Amino acid sequence: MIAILAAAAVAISGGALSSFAPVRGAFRAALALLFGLGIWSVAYAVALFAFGADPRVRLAKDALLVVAGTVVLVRRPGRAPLAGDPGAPRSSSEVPRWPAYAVAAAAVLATAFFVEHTLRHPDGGWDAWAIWNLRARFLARGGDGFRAAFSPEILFWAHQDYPLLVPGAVAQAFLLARSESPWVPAAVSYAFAAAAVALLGAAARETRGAGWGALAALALLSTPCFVGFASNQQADVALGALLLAACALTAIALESGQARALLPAGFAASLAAWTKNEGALYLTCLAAALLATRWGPPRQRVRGLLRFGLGALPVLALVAWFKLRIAHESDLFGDASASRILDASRWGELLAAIPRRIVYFQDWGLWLVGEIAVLAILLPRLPRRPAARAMGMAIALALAVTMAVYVLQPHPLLWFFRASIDRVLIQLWPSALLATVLALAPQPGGRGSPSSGAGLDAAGASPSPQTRANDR
Amino acid sequence: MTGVPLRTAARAVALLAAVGVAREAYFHLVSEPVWHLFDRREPRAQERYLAVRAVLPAAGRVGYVSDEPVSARPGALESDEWGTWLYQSAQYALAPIVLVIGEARTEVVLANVKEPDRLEVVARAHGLRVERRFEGGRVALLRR
Repeated sequence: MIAILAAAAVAISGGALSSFAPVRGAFRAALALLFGLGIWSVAYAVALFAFGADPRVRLAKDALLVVAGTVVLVRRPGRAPLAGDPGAPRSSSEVPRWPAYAVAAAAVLATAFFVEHTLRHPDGGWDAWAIWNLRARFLARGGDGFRAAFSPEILFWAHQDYPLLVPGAVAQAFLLARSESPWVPAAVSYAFAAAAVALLGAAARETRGAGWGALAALALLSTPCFVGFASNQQADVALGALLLAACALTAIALESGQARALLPAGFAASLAAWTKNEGALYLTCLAAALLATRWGPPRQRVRGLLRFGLGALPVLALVAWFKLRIAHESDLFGDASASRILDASRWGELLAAIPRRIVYFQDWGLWLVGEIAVLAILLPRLPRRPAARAMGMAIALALAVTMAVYVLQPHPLLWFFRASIDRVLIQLWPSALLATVLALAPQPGGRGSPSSGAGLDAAGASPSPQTRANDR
Repeated sequence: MTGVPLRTAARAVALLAAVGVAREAYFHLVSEPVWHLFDRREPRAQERYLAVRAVLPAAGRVGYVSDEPVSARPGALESDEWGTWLYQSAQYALAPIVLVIGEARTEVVLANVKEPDRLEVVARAHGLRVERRFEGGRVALLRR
């Protein structure tokens, strides 16, 4: 009964929050899963810190999520108009069928690889058991002593400063299952990975048509380290999925003129900030790109940013409280020194290491090489599309700040870079794939398509320059 | 140029996806062959601590000593990761107990050593005696 209530809390609260996004079908279902898991974990953290670890607190929290979600769903029947008609931008004869079959085959293979790797390494990769599942065990086993999870006496490699979205979900699942089976965190990890693939495919389909959706999903599924990181149960795949949700909703807002999509986009970005510290950086970069990219007049961009910020505010408040009261020490900045950031030899060392990573076949196959070739050869010849530019700018900004963090942090530079850069890249990769599709694919025109302004008209808004500017 | 034709993009993605899936298949079929999944699987690290967990307190601070150094300060890595791995796997297995590195004043202290014959030396170095051994002496409870 308790498990059914928890499942209902995830499903109904996720469905309610995703109803604020002007999307449907697989896009909305993937969003609902991500939002549902996210809000379930956020509410758990709030309840835990505010009212303690009593099982009745979790029960009341889940009941409240069900009631609040139901109220939202009942009071918002179809209030969010759809962004457009994504289904028929092309005649079916133009769209090759094989990518859809290839996606299905790749998904089956990826699932088989995931299961095999989980059987071989049931506790996940080093980061999974040493950080994420360790924290989940503290929360699930600790009872009212759960704050021991953040003890400064634990070795700093446990990263007590990391936020709790993934451990919160896993800990609750441990408690519901009354078991710490390794399949519990594996299932949570699989859910985030599957949501990332579905969301990427659906977002590309929504904005550019069915063929592009299948290609985007296939690209993510066939990136070698994606399945590896997912089966290693690391939070990077969850972070990547939530950042992708934020980017996809931002793209919908910018291309269809449905500014209301920026509210759930901000919420998705704030869930990313509650997943890993990098998420707060990505949220900031996306907000900055939203303001800096010329997708509308400055006043409209400021209003868009406010919507984005409003969506992010509740969870960001939790992140801020957590950082100020519970977990304010970070190994990366505890011994930060200005001399490191000004040290040219450290920058040289880092810049020399980057090309090696781009051709790192074991993790990336030829995908990064292909991406860079596209950026270098094709991008300058294509129209500048605001959504692709905003996402590209956010990703570039995030990478630039990340490089500065590499130079600033106290660990041996090359060791730290090699140990972590693939995780940073897999966090950004789904969003980079979507941005690439948005930049490369011709925008479907005609009545009902996202760029035609039909969604804008349906929303009752005045025609905005972004719809006309999309192909400038 | 208003965009890349879908068919052109599809050909490129097909090539890159084939290479990516081939790499994944190589890993699972050649590098870590799936048919040796069960006979070559390493035991879970936490199994080493199952017995000692039963006699440790349910929660609280427990001192931790080892014969292997632990990378305990950001920026200062030890020459290998053995000591850090030993500590982290013990902490993972024994949570919500907090294992405090180098602390020998708690009621019981956990010794976690790579080489069992170094156990007595580690205990004496901290002014402790071995009370109970587990896992052939690789894990032990120490007291004053």
